[in-house]
Amino acid sequence: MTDNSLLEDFADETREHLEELESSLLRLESDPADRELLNTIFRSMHTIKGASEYLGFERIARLTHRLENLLDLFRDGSLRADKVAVDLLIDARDRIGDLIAQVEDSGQESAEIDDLLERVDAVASGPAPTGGEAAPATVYDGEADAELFGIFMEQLAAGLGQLIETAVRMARGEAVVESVGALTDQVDRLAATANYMGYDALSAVYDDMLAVLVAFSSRSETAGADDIDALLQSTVVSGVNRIQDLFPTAEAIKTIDTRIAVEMPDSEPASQENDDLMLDEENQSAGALTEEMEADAHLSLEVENDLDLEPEEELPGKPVLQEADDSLLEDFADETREHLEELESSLLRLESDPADRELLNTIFRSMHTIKGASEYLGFERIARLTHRLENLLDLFRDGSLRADKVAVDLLIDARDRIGDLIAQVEDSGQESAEIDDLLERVDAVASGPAPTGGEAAPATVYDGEADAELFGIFMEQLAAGLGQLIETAVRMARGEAVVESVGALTDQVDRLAATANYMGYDALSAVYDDMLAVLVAFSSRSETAGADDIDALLQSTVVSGVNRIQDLFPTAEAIAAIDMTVLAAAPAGCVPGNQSSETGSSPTSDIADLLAGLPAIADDERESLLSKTLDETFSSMRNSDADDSGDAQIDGDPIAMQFSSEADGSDFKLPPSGMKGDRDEALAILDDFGVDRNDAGESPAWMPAGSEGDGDGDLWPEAATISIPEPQMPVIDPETTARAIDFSTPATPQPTAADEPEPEVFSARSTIRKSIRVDADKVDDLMNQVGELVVNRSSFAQLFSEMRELTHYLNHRFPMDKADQRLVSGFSARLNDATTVLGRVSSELQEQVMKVRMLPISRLFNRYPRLVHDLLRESDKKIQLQFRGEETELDRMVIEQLADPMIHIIRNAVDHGIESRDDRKRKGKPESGVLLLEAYHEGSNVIIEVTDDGKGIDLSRIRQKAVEKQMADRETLERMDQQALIDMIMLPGFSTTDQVTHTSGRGVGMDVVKRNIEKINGTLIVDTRQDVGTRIRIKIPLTLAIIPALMIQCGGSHITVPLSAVQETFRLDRGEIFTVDGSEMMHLHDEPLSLVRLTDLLNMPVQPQAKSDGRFFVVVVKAANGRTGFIVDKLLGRQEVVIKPLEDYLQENSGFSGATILGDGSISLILNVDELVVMAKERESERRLAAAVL
Amino acid sequence: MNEPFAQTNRESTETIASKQLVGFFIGEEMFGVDILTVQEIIRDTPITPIPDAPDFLEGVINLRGSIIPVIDLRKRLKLVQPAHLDPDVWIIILTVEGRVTGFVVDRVTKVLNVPENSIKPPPDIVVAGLKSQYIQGVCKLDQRLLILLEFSRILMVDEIKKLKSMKRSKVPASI
Repeated sequence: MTDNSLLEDFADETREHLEELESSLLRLESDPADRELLNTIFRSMHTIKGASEYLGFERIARLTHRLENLLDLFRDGSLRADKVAVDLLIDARDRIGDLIAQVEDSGQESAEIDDLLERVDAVASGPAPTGGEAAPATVYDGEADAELFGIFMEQLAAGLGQLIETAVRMARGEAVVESVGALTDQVDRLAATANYMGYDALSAVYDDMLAVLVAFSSRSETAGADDIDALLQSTVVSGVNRIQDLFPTAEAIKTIDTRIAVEMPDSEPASQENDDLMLDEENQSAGALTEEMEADAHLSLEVENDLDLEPEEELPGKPVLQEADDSLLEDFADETREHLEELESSLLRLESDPADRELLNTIFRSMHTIKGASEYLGFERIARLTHRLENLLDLFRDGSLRADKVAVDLLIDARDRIGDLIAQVEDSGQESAEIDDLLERVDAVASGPAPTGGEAAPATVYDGEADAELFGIFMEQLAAGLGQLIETAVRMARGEAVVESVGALTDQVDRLAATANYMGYDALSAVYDDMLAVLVAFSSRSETAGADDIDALLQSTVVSGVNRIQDLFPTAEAIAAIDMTVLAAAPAGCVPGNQSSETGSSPTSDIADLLAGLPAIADDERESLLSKTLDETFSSMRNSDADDSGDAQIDGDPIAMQFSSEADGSDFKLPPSGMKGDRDEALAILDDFGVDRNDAGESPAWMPAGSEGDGDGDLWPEAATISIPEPQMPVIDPETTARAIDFSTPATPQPTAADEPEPEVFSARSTIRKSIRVDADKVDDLMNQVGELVVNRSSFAQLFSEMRELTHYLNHRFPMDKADQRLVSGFSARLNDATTVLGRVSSELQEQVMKVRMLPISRLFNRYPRLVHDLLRESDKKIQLQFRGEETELDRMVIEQLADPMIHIIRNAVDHGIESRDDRKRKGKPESGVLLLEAYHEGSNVIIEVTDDGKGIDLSRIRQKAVEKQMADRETLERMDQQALIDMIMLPGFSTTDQVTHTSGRGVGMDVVKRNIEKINGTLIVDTRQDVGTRIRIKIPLTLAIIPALMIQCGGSHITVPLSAVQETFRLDRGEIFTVDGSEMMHLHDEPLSLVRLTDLLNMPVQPQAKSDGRFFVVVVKAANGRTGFIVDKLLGRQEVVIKPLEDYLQENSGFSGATILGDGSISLILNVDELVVMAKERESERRLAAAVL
Repeated sequence: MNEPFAQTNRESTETIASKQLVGFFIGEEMFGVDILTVQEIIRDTPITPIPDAPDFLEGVINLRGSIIPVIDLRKRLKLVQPAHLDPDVWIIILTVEGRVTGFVVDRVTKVLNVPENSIKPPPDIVVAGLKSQYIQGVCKLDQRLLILLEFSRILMVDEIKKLKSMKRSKVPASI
């Protein structure tokens, strides 16, 4: 199912998280209370969990899940992340890494995780029940553990004894029913213990036993002897056996149980006695313990419950969220945007192929990831929206819904909204865009087809007549319902049948809520829910309620509710107008009219009918919500006259017709009051309304009108006529105005759906993603090409100079007049300009491309805390690892190449450099040593320094070793300066044998270090001072592909020497050369320097003119094993060159490390200085050997 | 339009089953190599020698930014060296087992169409002073013997490496 690329991504991502985890965990060790750190760890864990769960890697998911629980304990402070815990976490991290590797290799998780799970449980439950005892102990091998384990085993043995005792009694046929109960109890108790200890496998055994027992208990009364026997076999015997298997080393259990297991099935009297005896003893000895254990078990269970609860309580609050730092947010936004982009293309494809499961899965996946991330970061709206979309997608996936155009459009809108939210979150950290409209649409889509059946499917979603119709009907009902509500409220306010009225109100609200639910208007439902809550609360004390109470109730429910609803439908003239009239009427009050109740009741029943009739049109309605803006809807409504609407409705619902006829009357009454009201008036009126409520019995006269009007208002013609007052309505109630901020957006669901997304979509698109993932190979290719370009630049320079020469020549040969000359010189000047520009652009390009490959060196540094941590595990040293200049950027390849050498260096520093605590104290140094990793730029190089404040390198030791190893004689050693001496540790062979005397200091693998660093054209300098410390300075070029080089000529060939290897160059007189044992030497800075003729070394033809000249050029190179002077024919100067590899068979042992293409297209070979020096030495020794033989 | 054309083409290959070869000369001997392995044929390119390399390794050339080794086929096959060499050499660039390599030859002929069935396995006897291991097959063409070379054997990298190391160890001893 999961394709490879997905897996790869997963592995990659997880590995990144693991890397982060590692560094966090190591920091946690030193600062266990750092909440931020715990959050980071939790975050990584959570992401891994989510991804692995999604991909079905059950072990990783299970492990991370448990670790998450554990981390929760740390976070809420109920546990402290001590060393044991951190070690566990680190081990778990490693295990996850293993699992990932396995998954990558074979697609299977083969590594076991049970041991870790047990440890997690032990750590999680450890300190709580055992109190102080267990806490400090290491989980698996401490004294306390053994003790704990011992106790557990005792209990286990005792428990099993009891079990078997009961079983034996059962086998004898005594009190079978009771025995089964007893057995169940006992197993239960044992299970509790196992749970407490975190032995999952054991728990599983008990669970199995319990299942059988429970199954048996139902028929235990009728069970025969055979049944019982079978039961016992399947439970007690097999269970005990399994437990024995689980604890192969626990002798107590083994001996006792086996005996019983053998005897029990036979159920011989003799054995029974034995058993009884034995069991009695057991019981007595273990009795006390068992009791304790039970108590413990209970305790532990309680504790666990607490623990489970607490984190959950915390989660909603999510302290993490506020703390979410910017970079996290950025990452989140970036990632989400990537997902959104993917979503978009998937969604668009989905539109054309709605049944594509794979596509749905992809969409679901993206959605899920976004949900997870936003949930984690506490972006509640995104999370809520995606969650709902997931549910919807699930419906598509299981085929219960079809992803039709409406749905896809909804998904796309939702996608855009998420994009908006992300943008807002990035800008302000707040989600300001509303999502309620989308949620409503999701609900509408999700629930839509079910009631509507097949009818709706073919209809075009957005602009069908039917939508407007459905919405109209809904509005009708709503208005009618509200009318009834207010009618009842008025009656209540008059003090009539308060109790009954409350009931009626509740009923009415309930019914309205049902409609709202049906329509999928969540915001509306919420209003009703609030109202209901108040009403229910009130109903309990309704009998004793005074007028004030009633008034308050009405205010809080009916008035505010109606206002909120008005806000929700600001464009719905019917409601707005009608309510207004009611409200206006209420203060005016006093219009007697009990007819209201009668008229009111008829709409209600009508509504019920309406509701029944609705489903047929529901889908259309849904479509209307999605498609048309309200304005359009209403304008269309206005255009259609009453008759049309009536006709239209007849098809759908006969009752609607009745309304339409009633409506005509009410219509005319309403407009005047509504039209007059401006905002202030309205406010005043509302206040009045509130006051008037106190005097019972007003407003009935208008109420019926209102209710009727509502009913009518739904009819389009009327709605049209009353349209004017609506805008004022929403603002009326001061309470509501305050809330309006919240509701403003959901209040206009239809407009938002159509209008808002568009501009916002643009804004979302305009924020371009800030990072991309590119295959490293592509970047390398690009780098190569750019390198080529940079080199080509120099060929232009050459062309220019050739051009100048040509001009000269032509001038000379064919004298030109001034004008012609100007022409030519003008051209050459332009060529020069163009060349300069090309040069500038190409070097800028080179720089930029180089930057693309750059990574902060923290990528490298972050690998080492773990190393130091592991190295220190078995020592009593204390080391503070410090970083400086982590943000220094370095070529990705260089970083990769540096990783290993750095390990050697750091290991040396930790193992040999920094002294033990005692030694340090004795020397007066602070107890904990300092290991500083530092990086900074220096020209076109990066310097990395590893500094420790340890004991330094013992130079006398080096001398001694050098003599022992016969790598140098005493004399040379005496003459060597400190630097040369230190450099000796980097000679191959020096270090390896050094390991015999472990204390002798650095040197382990230093030759490897040096070679690796030189491979990337770097240099290594060791600086040390006795008892002060050691500093290893690595100097590496910013990039590998282009190197500065010294161009030389030798034997007629153009040859390139990497500048990093060149120490100095100078001209030498023949007289300065002297010969020692037939090899040429010279003194350089009073040091002997062996000279090698490059032409000899490489068997190149000797240029006659070079030989005749009494002077030579010498290039002093420093190689892995010392300095050497190469005698060359000519120095040509410095140049940046692009390294090109040679075919392996050409390059191997050739003395060349590659080639480069010069400006004129010719090839220059690049010297491999190290190899040449080795070659020279070999040849030297062979020559001496030959001389000795001769 | 194209269809009948393609069809006739296929028919002809079906009936004759010929092989297209690039023919070239070293001295008076004619050789052939499957046209599919030939990347291109270039002339007059400066060859940068590699010091201290086996003598048949002529050097490297710059082929549009890539550095390609060039092998002198005459020296590699240990064919007779003529008194004076034409300095104007041809280089056939072949892709042999994924490696792009240039081979220096005296001159290149036109593309040859050789019936598949006329190609015979290499004879046991030495042909034109050439070890049979380097020969893929031979065929008669216009009264001449055309030798199809086995370039994967000629460019056996391990052998070249060995040759190099042998040479290296010999050098100091000779001095």
